[in-house]
Amino acid sequence: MRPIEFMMTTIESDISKPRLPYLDAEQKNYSLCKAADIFSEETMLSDDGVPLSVYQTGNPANPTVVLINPLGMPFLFMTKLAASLATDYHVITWEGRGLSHTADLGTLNSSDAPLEVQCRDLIAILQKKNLRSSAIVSFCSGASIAVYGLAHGLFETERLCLVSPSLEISNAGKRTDYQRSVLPLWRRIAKEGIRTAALVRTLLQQSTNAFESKIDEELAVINNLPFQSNEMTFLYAQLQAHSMAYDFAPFLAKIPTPTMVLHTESDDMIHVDTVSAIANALPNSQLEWILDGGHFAIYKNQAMQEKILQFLRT
Amino acid sequence: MQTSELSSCVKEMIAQTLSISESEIDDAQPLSNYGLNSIDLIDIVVKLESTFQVRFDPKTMKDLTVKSLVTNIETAIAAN
Repeated sequence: MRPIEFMMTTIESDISKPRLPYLDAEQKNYSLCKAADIFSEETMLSDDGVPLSVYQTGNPANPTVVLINPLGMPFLFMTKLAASLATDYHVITWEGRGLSHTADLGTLNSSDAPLEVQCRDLIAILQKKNLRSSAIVSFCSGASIAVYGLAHGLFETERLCLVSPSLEISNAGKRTDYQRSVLPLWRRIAKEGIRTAALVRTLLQQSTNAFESKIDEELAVINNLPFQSNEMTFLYAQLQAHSMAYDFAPFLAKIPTPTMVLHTESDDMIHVDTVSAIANALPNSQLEWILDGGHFAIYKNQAMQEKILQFLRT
Repeated sequence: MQTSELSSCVKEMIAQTLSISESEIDDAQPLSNYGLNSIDLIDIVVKLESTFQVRFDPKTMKDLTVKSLVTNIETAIAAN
């Protein structure tokens, strides 16, 4: 494994409301985007000079909760959860390389994709801000950064919450259609390149999305951001493929941190068997369920937010 | 393989996916009219690429019908 380097991290002096440069004027009026105004945005440079958008809310004197977004996705899914946490906690999150800082999305290098790079970005952010993670809350494939980093001792935390985690884990039982059909596509696109990304985008544009009929327009737009161009789709596929290269079961076994694995029974993207296997592989975990809300319950399901708050306060 | 055989093969795949009869599928109708979702459509295209050992050109895969899929298969086979 390449050693983690703690070289630099320069902060530019531009602290602002979230800019959301990947959305147009109409989309910026979404309630989902307005909810993001609780955050301040700050640009930091990673240790290899890549600009990262870092978002904070809440009192910095309070314990810090780190929110980890799904790989390649914007932080917007987490805004309402952040609002519910901000009363008692300092909440910090960031967007993966490129999303906020490229006018033409998808100009990242493949060297930006490995999980270790994503972990190193989190380390740099916490170091520069002189913060210690009291808790980490990840959503979907964001779990791969949390689990990889904790299992490899790259960072520490006192509490871990994995919400609907999307992790490859051996012998995990049944899989959803999404896991069975779509996840392998990312591997294929990552391997074959832009042409296959273009083919998949072309097919997606002429069929009803198998999952988005159940979510509102705002969530659908945000969820589709990684697929705005062939290049961006290729980048997203590379991020996913890097994560999917691992069997996370041995990593999970190395994490003694008290962990809550939280899932909705109505999630049609990540199978309950996967989530149960993840909880079973963790030495110190509790598995909690929410009935409704589907895969995107983290966005606005009150019961889910309360479960997370309750766990963090324990 | 003849065009009619290819057409039959494509229809069979779509009919199986949608649990409908092949006779309900019109060669010239956009596949989107049959309510195929993204996973179904990608599954079908991936299976066709695998079955015929071809790679489709994304530029010619828009507004797919059975007829255009068959043309794509024939073009891709010829290119091989």
